[in-house]
Amino acid sequence: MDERRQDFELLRQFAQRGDQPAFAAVVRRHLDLVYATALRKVADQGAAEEVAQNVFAALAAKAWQFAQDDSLPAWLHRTTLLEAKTWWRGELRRRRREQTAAELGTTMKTPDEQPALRALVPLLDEALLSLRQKDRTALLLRYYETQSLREVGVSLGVGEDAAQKRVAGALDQLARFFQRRGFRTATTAAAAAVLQQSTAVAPAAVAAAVVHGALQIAPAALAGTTALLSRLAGLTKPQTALLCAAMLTAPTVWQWTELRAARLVTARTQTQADSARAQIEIFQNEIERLRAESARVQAAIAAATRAQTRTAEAAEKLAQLKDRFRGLLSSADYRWPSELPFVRLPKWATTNLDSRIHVFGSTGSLSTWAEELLNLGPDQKQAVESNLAQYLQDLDRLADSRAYETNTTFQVYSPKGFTTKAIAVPPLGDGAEAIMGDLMTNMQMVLGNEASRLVSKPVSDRDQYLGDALIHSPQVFVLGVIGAGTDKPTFTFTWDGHFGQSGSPIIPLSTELPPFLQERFGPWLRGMGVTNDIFSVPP
Amino acid sequence: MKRLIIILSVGLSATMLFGFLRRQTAVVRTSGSAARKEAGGATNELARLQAESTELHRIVAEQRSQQPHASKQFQLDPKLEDWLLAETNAEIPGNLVRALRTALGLPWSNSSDYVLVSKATLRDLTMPSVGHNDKLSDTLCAVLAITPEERQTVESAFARAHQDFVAWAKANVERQDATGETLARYTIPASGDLAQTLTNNLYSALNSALGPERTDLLENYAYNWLRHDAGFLGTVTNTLSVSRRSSGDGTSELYYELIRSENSIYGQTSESGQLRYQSVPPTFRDIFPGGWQELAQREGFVLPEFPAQPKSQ
Repeated sequence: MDERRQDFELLRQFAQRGDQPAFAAVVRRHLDLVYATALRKVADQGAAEEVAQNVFAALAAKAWQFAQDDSLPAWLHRTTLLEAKTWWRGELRRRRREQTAAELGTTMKTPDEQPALRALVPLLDEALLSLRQKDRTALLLRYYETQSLREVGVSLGVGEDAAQKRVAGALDQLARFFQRRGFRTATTAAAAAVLQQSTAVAPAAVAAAVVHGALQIAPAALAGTTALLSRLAGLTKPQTALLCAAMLTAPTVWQWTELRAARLVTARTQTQADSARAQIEIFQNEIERLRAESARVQAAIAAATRAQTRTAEAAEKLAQLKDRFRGLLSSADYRWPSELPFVRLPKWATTNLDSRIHVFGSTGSLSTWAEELLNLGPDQKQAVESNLAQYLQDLDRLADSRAYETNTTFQVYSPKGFTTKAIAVPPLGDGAEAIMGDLMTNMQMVLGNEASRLVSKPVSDRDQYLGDALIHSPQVFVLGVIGAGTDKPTFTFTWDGHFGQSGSPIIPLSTELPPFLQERFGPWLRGMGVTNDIFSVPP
Repeated sequence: MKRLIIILSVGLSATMLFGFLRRQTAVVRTSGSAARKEAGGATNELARLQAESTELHRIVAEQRSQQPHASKQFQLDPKLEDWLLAETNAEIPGNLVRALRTALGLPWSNSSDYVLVSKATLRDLTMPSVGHNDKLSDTLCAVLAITPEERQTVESAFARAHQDFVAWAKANVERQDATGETLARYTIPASGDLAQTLTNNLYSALNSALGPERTDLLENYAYNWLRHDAGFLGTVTNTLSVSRRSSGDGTSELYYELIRSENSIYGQTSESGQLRYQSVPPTFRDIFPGGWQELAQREGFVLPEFPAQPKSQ
């Protein structure tokens, strides 16, 4: 076990258990160093003993503070210097006298034959204090505790060679210190010599007295917090570093881990909350849409229900009307129904009805009033109109093939000033009879006797162009016009002595002329400057 | 001692750092707790909304399933529906007649001896109505559902109006002298007082017998009687003239022309024709009951022999 470790163990035994022999051993190991240093400073054996006692008392009090790798010689050397200075202050106050260093110097037991070395002694401690602790320790161990280089190396934790180099280096530094203070001749050897000459061996009785005095002042064995602090103070640097690192990292890492975990949990929760909120928004939008959709459908249903109700009411009303009209059609005591929009007509009377609008037009289409009276289904209507159209086309084609222009207009009335054109058509005869016969037959097949009479009436009417009169007697159609080039030309139209609308401006003609007449009168009118399309739009 | 101070300093620093981290952790945990609470609330709200959404989906689906059912109903033209649901159905717009007839059915081919026709269409029809003898036609009576009692009253009213006009016309007819081609010219002048009296009497009698609706229709149907036979009851001036015109082959022909002066109601109308084919116009028939022959004798011209009997109009 090296010296330093031994010092630590002894001091720990003393601090923890109050082991006085251990402390006495420490005193014995380092008393010479302390005593020599103190004697060099106070130059009085009694005072040196007192200083040494105070130094070890301080060591006893602070024994628990030492660590394994602390240098006890260095500490003792520094403390001895401080205690010596303290002693001097007290001594100066007590004696109230001034003594010079020279006088003190005379008291030192330095060899007379080495006056150069004696001059260096007062600077020695200052020079030692200027060294780094390891260098200072090395010198103190080598010279004041007279350890070998190997032992110094063990104490410093290095090999013998390294210890030798350190001692040599420290001596070299001491020499340079002295040289800086004006001792140009100071060498390494001089420094070593000063060290050797400044050693002193404490008297045997001093050791016992110092131990006794120190233990008188020193506290009892450590306990509680102090003991803990003692243990802490006793840690080596690596241990301290380890402890500090552990103290710093363990709770921090643990707490940091906790913090990180908490943050992760919070972040995860936050993400869940965010996700939930996003989904809530989606659902809220969806719900809003569904509510709107529901309201729309509800409104549509309500509207449909209202419409349904209305339709039902209307259907009921229609049914009532139907019953009413059925009653009307079969009533033996029929009266004019003021409250209804329809009246009844005997079917026989319909053949005597006419209108300014013919039963059918030049294309065979039934007039509105005829449609209403007949109330035909779509198929019947189509069949009727198709037959009528065929009849009109056939008869028109026949009339067209026979018609010719004539100037024998003496029998017809032409107002003065009118320009006239007359078209004559001889009786169409058997061919037309056959066409009319086909129509009548077809009409009876589609409509029956009564209804076919209503539709076919114009055919047999002498006042219709394409009817009975055209088939059985010669016809002359005369169109007269006056003011053909003006905005308001006036027309007359007469047919077979039926004097027409003379004197009245008729644009377009109120009469729907058959195509064979339109083809003959049209170019003639346009040739005279009549631009109105007088045939196409009935009034 | 220095080491102890270092250890204590490090310990203190570690404690402070630990404390700081602990506070941070506490803050984060508080925040996490709040977030958990919020997430919990949000989850509950989400569950509620999911349930509500599911319920709404169900409701909408149910409503949709009802919707087509609601629309599968008997359909009518909306305008016809409006008309049917109106308070009164006495009149129907012309554009709804076809829709109503279709909805009603009742075609011509049904077993009844009658057909339906709308009052609106009745106004467009013409028919033999009032004859020269002031009698109503059977067709008119059938169309307007005029009872025998009503018929008697109406015919009396027409006859009275006609007689009153004829009496006034005989007393007030004016003769103009012949000039140029014109061989004769007679005028029954218009008389506002006469027209008002006769018109009021006639329509008031018709209205009280038939009511306003049928009277309105009858006025329409009786237009020809009013024009030809009753000379518009004095509302217009009726002028009859007879003239001789030469034809291109050197022969001549007698023509007549009846002009009714322009009136705010009826406008100006005229009719004309050859004497050989037409009889004396009804307005002047009671003034010249002997026809063209009587008129020719009065005016001193000779009627040619007509090759055929005049056609009756």
